[in-house]
Amino acid sequence: MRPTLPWLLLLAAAATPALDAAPAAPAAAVASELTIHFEPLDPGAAGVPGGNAFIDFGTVTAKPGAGHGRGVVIRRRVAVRLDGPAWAPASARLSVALTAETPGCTVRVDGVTLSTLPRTIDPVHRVGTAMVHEIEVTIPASAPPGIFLGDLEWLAESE
Amino acid sequence: MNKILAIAAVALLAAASGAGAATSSGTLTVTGTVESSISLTIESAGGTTSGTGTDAATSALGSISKFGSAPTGFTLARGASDWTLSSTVGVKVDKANLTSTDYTLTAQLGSAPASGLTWKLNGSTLSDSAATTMTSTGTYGSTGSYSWDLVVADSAAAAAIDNAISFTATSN
Repeated sequence: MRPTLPWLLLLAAAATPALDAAPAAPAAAVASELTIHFEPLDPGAAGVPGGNAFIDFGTVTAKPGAGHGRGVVIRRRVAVRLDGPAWAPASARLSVALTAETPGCTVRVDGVTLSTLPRTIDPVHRVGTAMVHEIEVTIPASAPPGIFLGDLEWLAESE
Repeated sequence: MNKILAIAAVALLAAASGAGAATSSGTLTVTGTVESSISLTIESAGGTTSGTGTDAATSALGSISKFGSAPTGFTLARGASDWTLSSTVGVKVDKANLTSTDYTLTAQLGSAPASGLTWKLNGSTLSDSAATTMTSTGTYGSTGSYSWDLVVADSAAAAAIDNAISFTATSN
């Protein structure tokens, strides 16, 4: 029975840092190590280190009557990179949701229509590699003029 | 010893499970400005037309005379001292991202008509110096039909009657 004590001490030492970082939820300390970075690829877009970014598609004018009143479709590309430490999972599930509905307008990412409920865009998004995604905004001719604003909440979850 | 090894293995598996539950989120804001717009198209006209469905249509009447045949799409009425070719022009105005419910349509000749020649739309004589209102309550998305008359005096010289009618739609 003498080898027993060293084994137990080793396990206790490994657990201690996690408990110090997040006493209420030890897994949270691990979760915070995975971050999303946006790298806008088209003009009028900008990324902010730390996970937020914006795309301004400028002023758009629909062609009345064209496409049976379809209005205007704007497409922009953005590269999304998940970063994490060396021990982070190789991939994570990437989903996107609108923080609020965009009445009359449709927002798609990679062809997937968004709503306020998260939709999976990439079930195995690689960590450490930038992946290009296409954002498509459809504004019908019936939509009122003015500012369009859509907030896309991107969520990366590893298994 | 065997008992201790089993406990250690369970503890390590639990730690691995915690590491896999990583999550992260970020917000991408998409913004832009949508501007209102309208478009005008010539949908139909008498004569041999081309460019219908666009904003630059052409109508060719060929050679016309008081005692000849009426051009395609026209009727010919002979008066005591003049004669009139009559047809219609179809004009459609569409809108996008606009709350306006109707529009005003005007027409104006591109150049002064030849002497003895009168261009009329909806019964109103057109000129090249001022626009004439065709309607002030046009309905978007539907083609408005306007009567189109060319009145030629018998005294008018034989010559080309070429001209252009410029339509302008303004949302109300």
